[in-house]
Amino acid sequence: MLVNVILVIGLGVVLGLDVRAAVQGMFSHPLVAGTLTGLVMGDAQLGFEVGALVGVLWVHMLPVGGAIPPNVTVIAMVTVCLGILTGGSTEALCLALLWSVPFGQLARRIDGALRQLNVTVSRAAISSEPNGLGRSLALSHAFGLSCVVVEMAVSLSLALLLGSLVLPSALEFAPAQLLTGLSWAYAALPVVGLAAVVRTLSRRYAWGLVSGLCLLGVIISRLIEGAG
Amino acid sequence: MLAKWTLTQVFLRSLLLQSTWNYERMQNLGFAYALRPALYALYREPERIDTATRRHLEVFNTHPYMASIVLGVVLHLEEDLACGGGTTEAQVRSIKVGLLGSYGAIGDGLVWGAMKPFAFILAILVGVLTTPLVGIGVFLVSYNLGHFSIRLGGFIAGYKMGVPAILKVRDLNLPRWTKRIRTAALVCLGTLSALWVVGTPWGARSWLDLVEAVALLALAYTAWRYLALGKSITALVYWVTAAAVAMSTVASMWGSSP
Repeated sequence: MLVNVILVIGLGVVLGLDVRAAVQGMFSHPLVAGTLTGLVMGDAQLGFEVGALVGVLWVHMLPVGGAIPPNVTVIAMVTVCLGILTGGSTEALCLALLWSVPFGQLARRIDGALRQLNVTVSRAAISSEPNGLGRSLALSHAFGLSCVVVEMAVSLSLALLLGSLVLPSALEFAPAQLLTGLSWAYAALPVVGLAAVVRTLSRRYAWGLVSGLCLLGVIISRLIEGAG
Repeated sequence: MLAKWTLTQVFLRSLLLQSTWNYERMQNLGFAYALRPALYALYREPERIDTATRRHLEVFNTHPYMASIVLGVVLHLEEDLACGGGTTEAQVRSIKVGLLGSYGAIGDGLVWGAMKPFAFILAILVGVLTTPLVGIGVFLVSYNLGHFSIRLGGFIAGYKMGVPAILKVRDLNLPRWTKRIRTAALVCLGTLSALWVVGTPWGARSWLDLVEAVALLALAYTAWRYLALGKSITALVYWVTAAAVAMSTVASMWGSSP
């Protein structure tokens, strides 16, 4: 399993470049990152489900202007990896999700600090010698990309290393009511995700359309089942 | 006319536009870095290359995808400037500054607020009905079709047409497309919600799942009202968990009482 965890960190470092620094082609989206993590850990289906949940929950946190949303790639990958390591039950997944959120926030803080550090890099490039400007631009980009690699490696390693020590014991010694509560919370979180998606797709008729289609779908499914 | 390889280099470098994003001049380094191969080919003399590159080290910040259109237009103008075709340095600057805000707003709404959630919800729907790998395949293909259409199409149009490309983008009426894509995403979301309700174990065997659907929609509406107040989703996740743990504790005490 240690090899798998190291592979997950390596995967996270590569996918992390897509979050902001390179391409931004959604290869780092929680749905993709979660499924690929699940694949590495041996359960792609669970990875897909967790990735979808993390994706809908933080769907309305948009990187508009200089805003930095929590790093949902870290949240999805840590939740899937630790969730599978601790058994893959709903209570284990919920605990892994709650554990991963602060590390998504940590990655966000590191990203903010890197953007501040880039101010110095930008000033250095602007004040560079006439003949050295091209080299300075190339170096600043290499530095920017390296910093993102460090950001992802630090966030994921800390979350997975500490999580693999803490979470199994927490699940073992937690009272039954707490575990049941975690399980209920995990079942309820998609409802919160539904609200977050509707908020992102803000249209006047959003609730009417979603509710209508949902109820119509349920009625049709009942009628088909009844006829069958 | 710039060589195809030079244009390819500029486009590939534009994919790194945000890697040196900074709080002072934002995407300035990324923009100058992307343009550098073209400026090198256009001006040839080191002093002129340096002057032209420094012209693009000023503040620049827009949506990363829409930046490709600006990059194409600027490249067209720089080519004209290098050939002495009548374009001035001030015109190059004013075109860049003039497009920043509007392209930023259009890109944020269209890409982050419509294309991304649509491709995502569609992918979940496909993934639920088929397999997870097909789901993420659909997500990456559908999203990146739109993504590279904007980036590559915008870059080529900007370079070939110059300033008229901006009018072409205006004629596309992207805000209208944003609304359409959001509506399509809501249709997918409604269908996905129905599949989810029917698929849950406690309501799948009777008309009770209609009651379940109404209850879930009511809960989701309550959560939406909470988020509409500007509250954090992260806090809501922890609140929901705390409430669930409290409920399970009460339920267990209720169950164990004589």
